[in-house]
Amino acid sequence: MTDTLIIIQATSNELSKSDLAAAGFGREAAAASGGSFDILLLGPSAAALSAEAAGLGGGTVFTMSSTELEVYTAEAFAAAAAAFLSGHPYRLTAAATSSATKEYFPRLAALLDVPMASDVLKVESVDSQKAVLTRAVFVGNLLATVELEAPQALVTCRSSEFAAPAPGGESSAVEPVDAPTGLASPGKVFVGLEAASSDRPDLKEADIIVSVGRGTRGPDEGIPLCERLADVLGAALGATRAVVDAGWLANEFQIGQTGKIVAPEVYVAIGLSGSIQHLAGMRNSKTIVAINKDPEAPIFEVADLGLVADLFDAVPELTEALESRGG
Amino acid sequence: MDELNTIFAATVTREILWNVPAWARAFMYLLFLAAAALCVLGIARRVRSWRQGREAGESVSPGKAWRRLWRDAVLQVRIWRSGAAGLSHALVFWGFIVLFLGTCIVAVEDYGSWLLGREHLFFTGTFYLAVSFALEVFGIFFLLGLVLALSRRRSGDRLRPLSRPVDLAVLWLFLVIGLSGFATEGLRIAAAGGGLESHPFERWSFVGWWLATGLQGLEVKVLTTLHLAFWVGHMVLSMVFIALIPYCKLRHIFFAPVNIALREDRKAGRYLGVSMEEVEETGRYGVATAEDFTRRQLMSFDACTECARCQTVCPATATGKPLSPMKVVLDIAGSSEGGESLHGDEISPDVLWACTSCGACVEECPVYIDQLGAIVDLRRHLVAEGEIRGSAQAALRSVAAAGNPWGMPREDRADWAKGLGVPTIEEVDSPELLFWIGCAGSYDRRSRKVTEAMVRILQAAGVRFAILGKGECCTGDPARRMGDEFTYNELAGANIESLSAATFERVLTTCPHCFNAIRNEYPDLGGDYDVVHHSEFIEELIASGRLVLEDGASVRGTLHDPCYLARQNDVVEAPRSVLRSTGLDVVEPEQSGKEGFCCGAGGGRMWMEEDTGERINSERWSQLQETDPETVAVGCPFCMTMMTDARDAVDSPVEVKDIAELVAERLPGSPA
Repeated sequence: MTDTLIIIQATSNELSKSDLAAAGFGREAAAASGGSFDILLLGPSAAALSAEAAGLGGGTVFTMSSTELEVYTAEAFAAAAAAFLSGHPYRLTAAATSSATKEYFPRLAALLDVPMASDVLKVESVDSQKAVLTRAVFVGNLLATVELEAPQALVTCRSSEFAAPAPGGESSAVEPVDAPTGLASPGKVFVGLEAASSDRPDLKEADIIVSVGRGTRGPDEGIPLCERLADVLGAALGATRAVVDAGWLANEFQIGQTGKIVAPEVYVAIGLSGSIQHLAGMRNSKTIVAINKDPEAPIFEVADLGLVADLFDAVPELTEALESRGG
Repeated sequence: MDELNTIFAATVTREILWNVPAWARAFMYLLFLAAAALCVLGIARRVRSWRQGREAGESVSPGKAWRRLWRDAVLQVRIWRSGAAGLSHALVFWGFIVLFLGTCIVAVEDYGSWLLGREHLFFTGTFYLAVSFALEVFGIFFLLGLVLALSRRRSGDRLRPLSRPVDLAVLWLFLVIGLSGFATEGLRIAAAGGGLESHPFERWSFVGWWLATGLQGLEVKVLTTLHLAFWVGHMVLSMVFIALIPYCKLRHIFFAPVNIALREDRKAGRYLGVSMEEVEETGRYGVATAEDFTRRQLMSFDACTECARCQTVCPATATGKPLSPMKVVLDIAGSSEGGESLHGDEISPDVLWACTSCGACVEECPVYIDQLGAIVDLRRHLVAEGEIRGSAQAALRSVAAAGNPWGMPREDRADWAKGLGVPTIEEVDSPELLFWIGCAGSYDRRSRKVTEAMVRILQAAGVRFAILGKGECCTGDPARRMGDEFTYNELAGANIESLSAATFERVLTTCPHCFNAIRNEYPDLGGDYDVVHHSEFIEELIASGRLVLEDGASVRGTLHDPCYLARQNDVVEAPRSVLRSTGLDVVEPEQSGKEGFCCGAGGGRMWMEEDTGERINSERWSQLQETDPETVAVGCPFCMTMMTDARDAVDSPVEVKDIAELVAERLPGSPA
């Protein structure tokens, strides 16, 4: 038993960067143990993703889906993976560290009664009885070498540390496998998924961000003006902690030390003073544009372009000007 | 005369165990043996559980231990701070002690005279009367203290103690023991030797005498039957009490004095360090199981009286966070047998991360338990296990990589000083002051204004000072409070190296967190400096006449005391005196000085989300608004951020200003 299995959660329509990194881990682990690696696609889009997964240089791509795996729940995924592994034992079974694998991999380890190492950075060596792996402890200040002394073990790997396997080579065989039934956990019912839907780009990926502060005076006053500006610019909407604390926008919009850290091409700061907590989350933006009526606002010290003006005049005027230009 | 004395001594006494038949005496001794055995077993179990801990810390000299016992056990000094609670406990305590001594005297008299074959030993004459009288007085104290304790549990007081079934049961047990004691005495005086006339000297037992006069009409048979019944009840309940001591909060009767005497001598703001060498050697970092605590810590947790004052003053508990310092202590004490992990559903990461490290619990605890030290030890384990995530982890990474928790460039650290004529340490030969700016004072635009105000003050007073410039980095305070000793050691080591390479007389800082770290914690790493907070230094400048402030209109204001200044370092008067010099009419909020309420940003909370319960800063802001201030003065950059945010959240026009800014406004020639 020298092979490694990589489990990929197939709930979206393309493989993510971390899925590719997990395959990279599979290649490294297989090289260390002198075997190869297979992939198990688990979830509704398993079949759809199989072609892409087959190009990652693995041995076999297994696909497993069923109505019970339609949406992700930790209990069902752990039970399905456990059922698969009891018929197909692997030396190591791995997945990328994610909020889902943090949840279902420990369950899987318990079901199989095998050891597990989380958030692994590096494979040191793997032989039939011992896997030696490196993981970070102490907020990354120290690296710990852990030894899992067992013929089978589970691993989650940090995706930033493993490169996706280069495309090319022979395509893997794709083999659908049956999902076991009765996966649902008693006492836990999936009710529904409410995903925030927005036509605007994601904060982390946006080239332009329009960010709003307390100066906008809330969702009934300044925020709609800024949203219109964001739409004209094709920008994402962001906010300061104060705006989120006031309940004007949801948590996911928060930029700063205790929110998202962003670095877009253009950052338009409207009605926000620029506390250090906020600056820590956006100061690496390429161009910072600030609109604030207080000329003393610290945001002007980091801004490349500053406009001292009442946002209730300036923002609609700017939006109009952009509209007529783009129009 | 001698003959008279002899007669006096022979008649002025009482028969011990009067009216108690042999079966009842046998019952008493049997019960006592059982109760004492249970008590000793319980104590032995607790003591054994301490022994699983590590040996660490300095021992306390016997002289010091006795002085501490005299002050805080016998005189109850620490408890007196808390008003009615102190009075109630002292009454019960002193009542209990004297009644206990009375019982001991009776026992010695009884066994002593039996052993020596004499009718009496010493419990006669004047001594008998004096003891009888004292027992009446302290018996009343005992009952009054209990009634006060019960009534406090019904009041609407902010400091109201817990009234769980166990708390009420303990009080009622004592109350019934005390009342039945008096009843037994009254019945004895009424019935013994043919009634009151046979022993008029028993008037000294004035409560018993008063009860006896009321019982006079009853038949002797009824009186003796009742007496025996009350005696048995009193005795049984007393034995129940003895047996219960180690198994409930009453255990503090034994363990609180032990902790008072043997506690470690350490300020709450000075954490015990862990070196990486130690970690490598022992494989232990922080506390995972009870065995990782020191013996002294485990002992201290058993001293807990469950008075709940720590959680009453805790800003996390007060705003609906999952943390209660008392519960953490009790959870540890409750599980301190066996090597299983302390971390779990009860002591969860959310509980541990909720702490602001303000130290209010430690300051308040009547028996000197260090709840904060325990929480930090437990946090260290979380850090080692990677259980620190999100923004707190990002702040720790930044502080390690960039030397400041916001990840701002090192290069920009001294940018604030451009054009202000502030020299670096290389440019001044042996300055009087090294001005330690701190990360907030260097990078945070709001706090920079405080730094600049302080520079104007120093320049106006003609103080020769210098800064470290780009050579300064975070003191390591946030890392240490969050439990990351590794990063703390790195940062503190680098700073001590920079400071030791420079020549200066004193270090000045406007940040109480920097102040605390340099003053209390750097000496443990070999960095010994004379550090002053700017409020102390400005007070000195004004007192010595080096700094003269202009008079101006008086403004009504209040001061929000920084925890790391007032509580952890006893600097309470200096900021007030400086504020008065600026014309601020300082109105004190209910919680101020060493009893101040945290702004919510300590202990690394500045870099964590606060998504449970009310916001601590908003709670503090409301407390301060009760003084109806025009200005809220602060003396800490963290407090500045938190108070400003809380003010903005309610769109209040009240000004939030640092002490240095208020002083700088009164410098000659300043625009007021």
